[in-house]
Amino acid sequence: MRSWLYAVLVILSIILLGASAFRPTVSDSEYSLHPDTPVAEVLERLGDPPLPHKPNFKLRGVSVVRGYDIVHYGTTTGPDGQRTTKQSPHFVCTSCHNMVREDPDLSVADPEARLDYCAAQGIPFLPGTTMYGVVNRTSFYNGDYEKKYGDLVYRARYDLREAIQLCAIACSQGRHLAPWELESVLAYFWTLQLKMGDLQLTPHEWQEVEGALAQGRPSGATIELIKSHYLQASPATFVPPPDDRRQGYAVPPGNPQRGRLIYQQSCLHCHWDKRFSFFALDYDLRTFSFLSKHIARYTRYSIYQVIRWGTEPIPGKRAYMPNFTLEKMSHQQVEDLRAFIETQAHSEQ
Amino acid sequence: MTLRALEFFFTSGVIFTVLFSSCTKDKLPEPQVNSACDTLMPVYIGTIKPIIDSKCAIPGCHSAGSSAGDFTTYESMLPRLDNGRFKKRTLDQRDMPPQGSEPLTEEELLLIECWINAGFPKQ
Amino acid sequence: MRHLLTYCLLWCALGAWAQSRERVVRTFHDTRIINTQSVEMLAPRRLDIRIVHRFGDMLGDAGGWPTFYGLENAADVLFGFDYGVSENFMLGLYRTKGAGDRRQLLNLNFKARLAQQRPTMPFTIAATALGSLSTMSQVEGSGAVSSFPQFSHRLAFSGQLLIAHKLSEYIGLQLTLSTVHRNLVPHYDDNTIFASGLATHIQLTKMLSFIMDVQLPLNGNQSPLQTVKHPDAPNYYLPIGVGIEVETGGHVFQINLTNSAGIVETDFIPETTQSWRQGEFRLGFTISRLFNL
Repeated sequence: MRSWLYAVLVILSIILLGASAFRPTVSDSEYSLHPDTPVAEVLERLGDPPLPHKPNFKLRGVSVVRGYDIVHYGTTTGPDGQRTTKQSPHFVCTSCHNMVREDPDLSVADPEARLDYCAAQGIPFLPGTTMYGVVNRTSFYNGDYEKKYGDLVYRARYDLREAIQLCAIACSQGRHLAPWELESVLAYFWTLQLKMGDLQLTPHEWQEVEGALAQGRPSGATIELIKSHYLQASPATFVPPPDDRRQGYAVPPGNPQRGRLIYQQSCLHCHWDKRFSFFALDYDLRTFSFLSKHIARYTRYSIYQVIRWGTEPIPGKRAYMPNFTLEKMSHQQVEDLRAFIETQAHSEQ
Repeated sequence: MTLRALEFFFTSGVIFTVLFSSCTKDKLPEPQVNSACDTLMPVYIGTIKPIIDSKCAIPGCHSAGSSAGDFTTYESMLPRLDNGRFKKRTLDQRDMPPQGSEPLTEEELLLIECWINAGFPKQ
Repeated sequence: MRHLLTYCLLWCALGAWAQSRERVVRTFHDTRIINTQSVEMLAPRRLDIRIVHRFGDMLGDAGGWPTFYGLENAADVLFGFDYGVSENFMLGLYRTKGAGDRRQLLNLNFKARLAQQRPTMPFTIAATALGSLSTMSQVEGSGAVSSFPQFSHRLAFSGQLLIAHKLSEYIGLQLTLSTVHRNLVPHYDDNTIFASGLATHIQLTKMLSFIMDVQLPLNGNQSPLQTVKHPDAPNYYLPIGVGIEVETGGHVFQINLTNSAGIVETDFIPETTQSWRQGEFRLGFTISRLFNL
């Protein structure tokens, strides 16, 4: 009788050991979920393939601090002690991209909500998507950017490193980044990765994620749930100016108050004191008169023209103005800006 | 202030100290009337006019109707004699006649100097 | 009506909030006004290549139709550059023809911004220091300045304190206090001249602005305040310039009328012998182009 019992016990333990060996994830029942837990880490634990753009710290000179310098100032001190040449004579990354969260809801690209959020936080309202959480995204230069950059986007579409280099050459009109510079920029971007607290999960969803983590098994459904709370790719739709520039877009009449916010948070970021543009903007009546006069024209001083098409580089001048896609500035916002400019232009007449 | 700016401030300070240490406060002496002019009393007609005609009022330079100044007659030269520009260019700066043209000889310069000191008489 | 008032207050508040945080910028649009320098600085690592031209007298003895109103002569020309070393410090190197006794000048200019206008500070203040070296050949025995008995006689210096205030978005004013020292001067002249000046910038349209600049020497034969003049001294007049500035993006193009022939301070402050009334004013222009280094 005892020998039967021993045999059953041995067989059971073999089965149980064998079963545990096939569990792919580390069963760490002590792992706890906080709002500060990185999203990428949680996804990996749940069985998602790791993101391909982890920085390579083995290269000499790679550091988060250097990445910060390059992104904010365009130059840093290299591993040889020498200051690098400026990545671009015209722009730095922060000319067109924020480095902090800019949307209240990460799962939608809503320019109206973004404007309110940016104004409240005191951050600029920019044509480029924020680098906060860029490492969590899997697709870059999406949608209509193919119209602007053609074949160049194919290498960059699913590869963050190639996307950064494409920006360095094309958008910033500067030079390629050296391998250590590129890895440093990546290292800095990883410090801006999304945290679980950013996703604004409901308490029920939070429990679901905690449960899936506790189980220690891959969970495709939970991965989908988490990914549904932030955009994997920033959508980009190029839209033309209104057919009749005098009439404007077919939206409700523009609100000058909202327009003032756009002027302040968006236009003046680059145009105040010729910061990133040769064309200075300020609060002078003459400036508003000038802009107002050009609204319906097809010149590079028409707000419709430059917001929707951008401008092209002119030799010898600061580089061009990038366009605002529909997801970065809605038709209503363009009309709000127009209303503000026209109100200011006629305010003292 | 960045290190670079400090370096430049220091360098410029050094440059300016060197420059300013060569600061002087000199005046030219009162112009002495050339003693040779006591005996030489040239006038335009006869003495000065040939010099001007051969060295100044030549084609391409101060000939008749020239925009740089017509030196073919006494009357047309008078404005530039009155405002001191003739003296300045020929005697002080010595850049007229210009390089490439035949220069004024020492004798001619002395004659012109005495003529101007005497109030550039016509005859 | 109530809503209108609320909107107005909100706009004003937003505007004031936006502007009070900022230092006041662009009191003038260029680092020079007409003759005098302005309080504007170049941003770091910015190179400004500059050509300044002053034509001959428009009217008067040397002007009129024969010289096509002075356009066929050059009273003074400047070729050179300015370089922004840091936010508050720039240096410049220029070669000028020279319009006074000293010619073929090499000028080295330093400018430092000492303060910038903001809600707590009413003025933008800058200081300049210029050293000018005449590289012309020594004219021996001429008894003029160009005889340069010593090498240091080729040098002249100028120091200025510039105090500017931006009155509104479209009017800027500047007070200039200058001192010019020439190492060698004619017997009737003073080595050190002090001057004060005023300059203004008025924005007419987005692209066009009006500028004006006047200097008043305070001592020496050059000064109208000194009633007793040396009998050998020529007649001096106040350097006054008026002009128009056009913003063309990377350039600021300026066209002006001024009586003074010299371009740098050591030239036009002590040696302006040209008179507006006698038609001895001239057309001048400046082209400057910015490069990012």
